Amino acid sequence: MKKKMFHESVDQLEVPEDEVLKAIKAGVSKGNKMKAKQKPRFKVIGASVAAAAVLFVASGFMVPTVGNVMADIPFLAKLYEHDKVAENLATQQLITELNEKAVSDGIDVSVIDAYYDGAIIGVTFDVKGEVKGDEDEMYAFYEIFDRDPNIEETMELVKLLPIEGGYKGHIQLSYPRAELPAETTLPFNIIGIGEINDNWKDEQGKWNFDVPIKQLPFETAPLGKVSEHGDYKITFEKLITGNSSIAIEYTLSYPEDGERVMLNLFDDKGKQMIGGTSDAKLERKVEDGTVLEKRRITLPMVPESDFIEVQPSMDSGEELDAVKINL
Amino acid sequence: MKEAILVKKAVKGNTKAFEKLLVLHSDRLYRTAYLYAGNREDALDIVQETSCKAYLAIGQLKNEDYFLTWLTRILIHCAYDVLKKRKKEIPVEKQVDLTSNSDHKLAENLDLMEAITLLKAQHRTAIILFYYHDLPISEIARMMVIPENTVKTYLQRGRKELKNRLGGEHDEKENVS
Repeated sequence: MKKKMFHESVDQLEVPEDEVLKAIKAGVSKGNKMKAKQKPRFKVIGASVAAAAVLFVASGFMVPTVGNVMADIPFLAKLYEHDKVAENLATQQLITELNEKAVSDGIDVSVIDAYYDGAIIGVTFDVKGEVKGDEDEMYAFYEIFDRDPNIEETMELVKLLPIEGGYKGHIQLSYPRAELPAETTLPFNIIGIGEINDNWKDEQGKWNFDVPIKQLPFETAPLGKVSEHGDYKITFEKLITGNSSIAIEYTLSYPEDGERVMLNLFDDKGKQMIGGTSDAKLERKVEDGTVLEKRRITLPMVPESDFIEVQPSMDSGEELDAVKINL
Repeated sequence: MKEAILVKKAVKGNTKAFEKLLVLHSDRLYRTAYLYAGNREDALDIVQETSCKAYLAIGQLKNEDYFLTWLTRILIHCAYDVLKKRKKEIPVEKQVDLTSNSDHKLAENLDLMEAITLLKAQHRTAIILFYYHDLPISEIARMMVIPENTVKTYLQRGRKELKNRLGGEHDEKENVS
């Protein structure tokens, strides 16, 4: 699909100019009246609380054409170039090699390695056999944790990259449960491989794995910092520092019909930290119209910064007090 | 008057300047709302709600350069609310889950605008922001509060769904990585 074609189609939409102007004026006038009454301001701006995505997926990585690969380390670093945690752990040889194979439909899938650092998990797998589709548009559709309904997103697509004799896939996700066990297994089932198929989501896993994952040493430090505004309260509970990743656990409380609150992270130079972060809901309960959510925000890196400034903001743009977390 | 000056005045509480700003972007606001709602009445409702919420929050806008992005973010949430309300109002037996029904015959007669209104909300948002608002993946990720790779997945899935509904004629490859 071309952007030009998209624009042309959208531009063909007829705009009822007078009515749009009326809608704008009516909206501003409504806002004006609400502003006059507003005390506290939040209660009137009722929007839905949408869940943020838990899962983040590395869409794959390039495998270098085997030229003069002189040593394992640069090769591995290149292999994980879209997953900084993996890249970092690989250079320290902290990724566990595995060889777990499952066969279905004449296609072999082998889970070849995995890591578990702080709250982040990464898994790499190879696909061999007769896979149908265009080599550059090859996907695997997988589920994790047996589609546990308490986890926000349990199904995902991952783009596969061609290697000699097959394909390679790599996923990265944040551990979706409150407790971070030292040793556990990740239920990881691949449902479909090849061209994207609409029926995949209704099918069962064909290549099923329980990937053993062992937690690398990590530290936790209590934070006990609070940011509060009206009926909204964020308690920053603890900082988890892994080898190559960090996570901040916090509890968010807000009115049941309240707005969504987002956390924006900045480094010590005021630069916003975006890309790869994941804000996962771990637990949720409602008490007397107040929602209490335990959440964990994960960064797939250890920032080169003395601290992280967390700036919570609401959908309406309203900001809560920023909190500084020393690293 | 230059947009930047209008934004400054609006942030300071000037209602007229704020209204002028919205009028300046009214076509885009309406068209984006229409892509979500698929009909004029709901699109106008979305524009009205967006104007109201944005007016209430304009004082909080920190970086004036991002006015339009900020406004679009509010519009998307208002659009989600309208979609949610509408879903509640449509009896379940009348709802058609197109995503799980690949051989649905309706698809043949759809044009692009109609096809977009049938996408899953998140796929639709990614498609609208990428193809209509011309935003980079990183900015879409920030607006949707999701990782960049998830944006790419949504774009790919959205394109795939559109292709299915439009019979493949619009599927010219475009790299979104």
